[in-house]
Amino acid sequence: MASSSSSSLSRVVVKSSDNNLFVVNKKVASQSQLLKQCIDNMEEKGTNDVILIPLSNVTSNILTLVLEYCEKHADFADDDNNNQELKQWDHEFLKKFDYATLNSLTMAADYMVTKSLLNLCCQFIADSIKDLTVQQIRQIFDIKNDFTPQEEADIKNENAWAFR
Amino acid sequence: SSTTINDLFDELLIEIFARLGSYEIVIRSKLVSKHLLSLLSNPKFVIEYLKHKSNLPLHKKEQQPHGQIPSRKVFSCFNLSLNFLPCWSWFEVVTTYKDLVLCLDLSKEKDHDNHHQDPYLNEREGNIDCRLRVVVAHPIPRRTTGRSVDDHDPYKILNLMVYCSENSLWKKIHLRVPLSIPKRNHVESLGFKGVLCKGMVCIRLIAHYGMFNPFDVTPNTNTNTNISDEDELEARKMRPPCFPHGRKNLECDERLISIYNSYIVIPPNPARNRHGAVNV
Repeated sequence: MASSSSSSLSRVVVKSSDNNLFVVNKKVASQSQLLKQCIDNMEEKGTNDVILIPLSNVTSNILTLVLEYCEKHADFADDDNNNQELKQWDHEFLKKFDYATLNSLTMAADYMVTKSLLNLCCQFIADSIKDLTVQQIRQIFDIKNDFTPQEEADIKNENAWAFR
Repeated sequence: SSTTINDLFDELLIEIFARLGSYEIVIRSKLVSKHLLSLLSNPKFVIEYLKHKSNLPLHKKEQQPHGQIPSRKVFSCFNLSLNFLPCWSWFEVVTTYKDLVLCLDLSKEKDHDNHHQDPYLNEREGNIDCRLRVVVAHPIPRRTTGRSVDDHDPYKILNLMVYCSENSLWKKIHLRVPLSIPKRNHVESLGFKGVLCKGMVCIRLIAHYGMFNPFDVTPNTNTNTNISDEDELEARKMRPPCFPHGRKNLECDERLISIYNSYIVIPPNPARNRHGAVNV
């Protein structure tokens, strides 16, 4: 529409891999470098139409969560004073999820280039596995042990100091 | 459909495990699966791990056993602040072996406005002071020892701080390295390479290889200086190896040590420092 005086867009539409549409305002979308890049490209071309950005790797469930995160962080973007509050929110936000969701969220954050969310997820997962035994790590991430007992013994032997 | 950790891209796995605070957990995690084992044994991972400054042993006071000199103190006497890692660009990865990386700390070089102060280039300076920590080496001149600097001394002393992964302790080591190189030819390329693994350090000074085992300490008898808390070792001479291009292997005490194709030159001008990529 020609009513807008500048060529900047106010919102974009993001499509999840299962074809749901999400209307996102620009400030929120800018939390993701991927979306920001798309918007910048369109603005350079001088388009005023609402643009559609398909995200083929992110399901609606996960996209909802990423957008929730982006929304919160966009609110705080201009405010340095609420760092502590935001950190608290981040922690509460991730605490709700199981590992499968966390992993998907991490991948989505990576795909959408939302660096702060990626850092947050990786640190959160790292913190939560640091006190676990090997067996617990396998269970949580659903990994099969593909070592033979001999191989397992060899690794333990080689790094004996870590298995005291 | 649930996502397992196996679906995570390797880079993300590296991101996650690089954030583990203790290297013990990393090693224990190697038992999880073969894929994780190969990923966590990769030098790429180690480099990533070292970039997280909280992972440096020096930042962990609780790792200092009672009665030991805290490494913090050790390092303050070398005039090195502990927050050096943020200027990562001043660290050159020299080489890696399994879980360990050897880096050269070049940050001091910035302060050298002329090359005569470069410890590597000052030929009259009989001693070279290098440090190894997790494995960071740092060259500074060593001037205040009781040792007289003999022009004809065929040895150079490498003063190293060695981080022993076995017991999370730092060890101060003076390594005497044979120096029988025609001086003129090597003015610009005097440097060293080394790997440290499981207490084993391999130092390469130009074409000369010295190897020693810091746990196998034989005190040097012909010195009057008090080195009670330090170990002086003589590098065992090794035949000059002829390596093919690329990865290089050395054998020592039945251990195979691979030196990856990296090359450090300390030229007069730090801007000309260069090294090859670390092959992974």
